[in-house]
Amino acid sequence: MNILKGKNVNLAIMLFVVTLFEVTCLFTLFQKAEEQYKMNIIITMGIYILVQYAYFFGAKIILKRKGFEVELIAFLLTAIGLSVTLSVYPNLAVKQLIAVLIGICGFIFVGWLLRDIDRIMFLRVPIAICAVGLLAFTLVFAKLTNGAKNWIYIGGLSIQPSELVKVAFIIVGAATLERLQSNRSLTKFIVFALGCVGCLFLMYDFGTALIFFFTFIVISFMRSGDVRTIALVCTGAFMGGLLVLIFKPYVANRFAAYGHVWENFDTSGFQQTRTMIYSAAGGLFGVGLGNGKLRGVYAATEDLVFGVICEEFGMIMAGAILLSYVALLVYSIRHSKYARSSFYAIVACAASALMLFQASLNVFGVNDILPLTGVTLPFISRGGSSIMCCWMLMGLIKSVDRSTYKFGGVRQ
Amino acid sequence: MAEIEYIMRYVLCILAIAVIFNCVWSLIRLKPDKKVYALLVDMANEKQYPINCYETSVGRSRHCDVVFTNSTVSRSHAVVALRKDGFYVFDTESKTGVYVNDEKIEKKKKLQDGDIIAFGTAFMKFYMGSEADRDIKHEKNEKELCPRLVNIMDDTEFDLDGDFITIGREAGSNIEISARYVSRRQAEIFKEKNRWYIEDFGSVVKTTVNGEKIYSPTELRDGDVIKIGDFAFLYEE
Repeated sequence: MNILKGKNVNLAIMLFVVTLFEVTCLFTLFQKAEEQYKMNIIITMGIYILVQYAYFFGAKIILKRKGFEVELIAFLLTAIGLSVTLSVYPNLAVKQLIAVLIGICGFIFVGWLLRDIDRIMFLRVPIAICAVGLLAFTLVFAKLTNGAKNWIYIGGLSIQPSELVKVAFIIVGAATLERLQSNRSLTKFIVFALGCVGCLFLMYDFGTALIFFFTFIVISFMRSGDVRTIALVCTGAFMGGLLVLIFKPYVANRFAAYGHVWENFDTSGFQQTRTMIYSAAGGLFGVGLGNGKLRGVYAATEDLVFGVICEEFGMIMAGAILLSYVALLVYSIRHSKYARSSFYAIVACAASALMLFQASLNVFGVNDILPLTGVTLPFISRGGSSIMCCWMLMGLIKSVDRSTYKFGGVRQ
Repeated sequence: MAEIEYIMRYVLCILAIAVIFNCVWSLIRLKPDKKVYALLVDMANEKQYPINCYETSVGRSRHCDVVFTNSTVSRSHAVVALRKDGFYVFDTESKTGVYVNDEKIEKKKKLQDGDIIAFGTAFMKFYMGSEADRDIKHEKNEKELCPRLVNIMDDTEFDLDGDFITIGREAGSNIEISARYVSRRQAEIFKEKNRWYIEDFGSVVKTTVNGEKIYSPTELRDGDVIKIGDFAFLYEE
């Protein structure tokens, strides 16, 4: 039974085009790579393409699912991100690939987890405790890196727990709506959100704190529709922020360059100015993968990755990437009315809004429209925790679609 | 090599845009079909509220899916929700409560087709399926309710869905029996005051009901066997 009006994209054709894109990237990277990294690049891209086919085979043939637009976008964006990483840091290819594979497993796991709403209701308290516990642990044991205490090092691996907590934050926030629109009290959620945002603030991870706060507003509004409470919370948060700036003025120094990057061309505005210059140099179709100059700037594949995309792939593709984040939010909103439960509607809208907000912070940050907060561009930026989080967020977005799950033994 | 690289820039861009635009267009264009799962019919004015969501809120607030202006209805009074095993009505902490068939519910109650739900003093009738489904169901029920004659020899069924049916050798009879000993107009089964009767038209071979010859209109009851010569029919209600 097809519940959608109209036809979905043809999976075979789209998958072929995605593969063609990946193979073209692989070819370009192979040409430019140093001899010692050539095999690394082939193995990484090859495994990624195989996993992509395995996923679609399982979902289409075995599970008989319909509608793969969300996954196709995710796979394409990941391929773009992976290509940039392979181009700049071919030595980190395997590490990034492992993170992508874990992320895809996370996507499948979240899909399974959300299938049964009773299971979520049962797990929401343990998830909330784990989320706050993980942030508290990071706050205590993490070392200050790049001005923020948000990295934990285990062996040779570095993990950013706040990325993983994003998924938990959305699930817990939506799951506190326990009795079908009857429990409008936001108290429990406010306490939980305060715990998370407070920890992030103390970790000086202001970008992520802002993302959490924005997600909190989205969830609160969708849950209660109570504008007055939300206005009160926003005012409280604004006042809190002002107090922090008054009593801890060094926090404001982090954003001193904001609005003055051209005055600090070679100092605090170095990253932003170079990003803007090289982005413009890319033109509409870019200078080609591996030919950019922004790659030499610190954090090119993380915070400044949007600039790298603009420079090497061109403005058109950069615009298309941003459009896909917008489309995910539109998709979530359009499906939310027909979701199996308000829980799925809230979860999907919050996840897609978070992704769009994060992308906006990144893009506007590097272009000096907003302060540079150091958040990643979903799916594109290099970073294991970030890519895992993005794939899991995709799992949350996908849950809003009624055709994702069998209902009463029937896939709709 | 430089030429290939130059072309690759455009190829990559075109491929990525082809995928993104196709998927984005599909995500924006496609929306779930508004399939009607059930109907709520306001008993006061017969106004119909189709239920095409998994959760339909009922209340006085304009944010609800089904809005009442009745002051006995709370702002967010109840939710009618589709779950794995059917529809449920949830009382979302309303002031005046939710009643299903005059029985006040505690938190939730499973709904059956035809249940009367009271939200305060607003009475609604609940129907499973869409309006069209309901009409078909209604028709089917009517059909199932109408009595029939079953030919015992070959299980052929004759629905008694009109006011009368005729039995005889004559072409055009509702039940045509092509045996010589059967009269052209053998008998008639007719309805009067919602009861079915059989009358013999003075045929040579008498019509019998449960083995007894009939001389006047005889009321039929469920399980009666009507016999005309070798032909036997079971009357079922």
